[in-house]
Amino acid sequence: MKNRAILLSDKIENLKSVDFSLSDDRKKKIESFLFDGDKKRCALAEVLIMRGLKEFGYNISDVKYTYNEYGKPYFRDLPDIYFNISHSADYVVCVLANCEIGIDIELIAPISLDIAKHFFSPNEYELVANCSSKDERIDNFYKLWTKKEAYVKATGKGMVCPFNSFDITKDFQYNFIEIDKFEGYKCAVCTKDPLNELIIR
Amino acid sequence: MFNVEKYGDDKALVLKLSGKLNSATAQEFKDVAFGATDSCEQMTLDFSDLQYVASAGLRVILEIHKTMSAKGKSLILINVDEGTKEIFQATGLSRFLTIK
Repeated sequence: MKNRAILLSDKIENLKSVDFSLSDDRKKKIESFLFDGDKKRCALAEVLIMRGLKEFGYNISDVKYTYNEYGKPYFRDLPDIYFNISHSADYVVCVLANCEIGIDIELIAPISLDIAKHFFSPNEYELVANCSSKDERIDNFYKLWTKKEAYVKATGKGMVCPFNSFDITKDFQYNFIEIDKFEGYKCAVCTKDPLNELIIR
Repeated sequence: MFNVEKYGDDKALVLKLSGKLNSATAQEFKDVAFGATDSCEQMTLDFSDLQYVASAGLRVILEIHKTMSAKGKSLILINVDEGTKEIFQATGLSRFLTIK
């Protein structure tokens, strides 16, 4: 079977109002949020999920979710479709696939080398610390950070997996794709098996 | 703009965070918080003025929790808005952290 994924994204500002075709679960969650930005981020995540499901041939009005022991969400009634969400500043990104998948997006901002030293493996840290310019250092930091986040999300373990417990610069059994679509951001997708197709909307 | 305000005493230290806790500011937070893990018995992180927590901030919070737990001490998060609580749930951190 071919491994296929779809990446959808949008800016929170493009969500005009909360879409009332959202699932009951999502509406409840949105109602619990105090801040407008959180409500929109949550609503946009499901709008993207719905769009992605349509691309996979599912037109579902009330998506139900289930969660693994680490909090990673799955579709309760679609065990063969996987998804993952990430957001940073203005953007929400979502990937759906027929295999386990993780995604991370980060707004590029100044960094502290100590954070890289603390959370990265020695090899990864060297890739950041040995850069000849500040811009290159920041670029490498976020390349590694988004890949590592996408990896721990693909494994389903998320935050529970310590960042310095693995090294993505060495032989690694997972596959990464850098997404260059978002100016001012770094974004990466990770899957265990290579993707045959990644459609970016 | 990120700021950590310290109050309370060694028995019950409160760190009130304001602004955005991300990869740019996580180090400042880490330095202040880890610097206090030896001396304080209980650390409370007050999120009432915190606008945003990115993954770097979440990972530092988890490290503080591990360090405090290893020393038999407690870490408590207060005034956490629903949006941030949802992030703690989605990342599995709510299983470890005490959020009041």
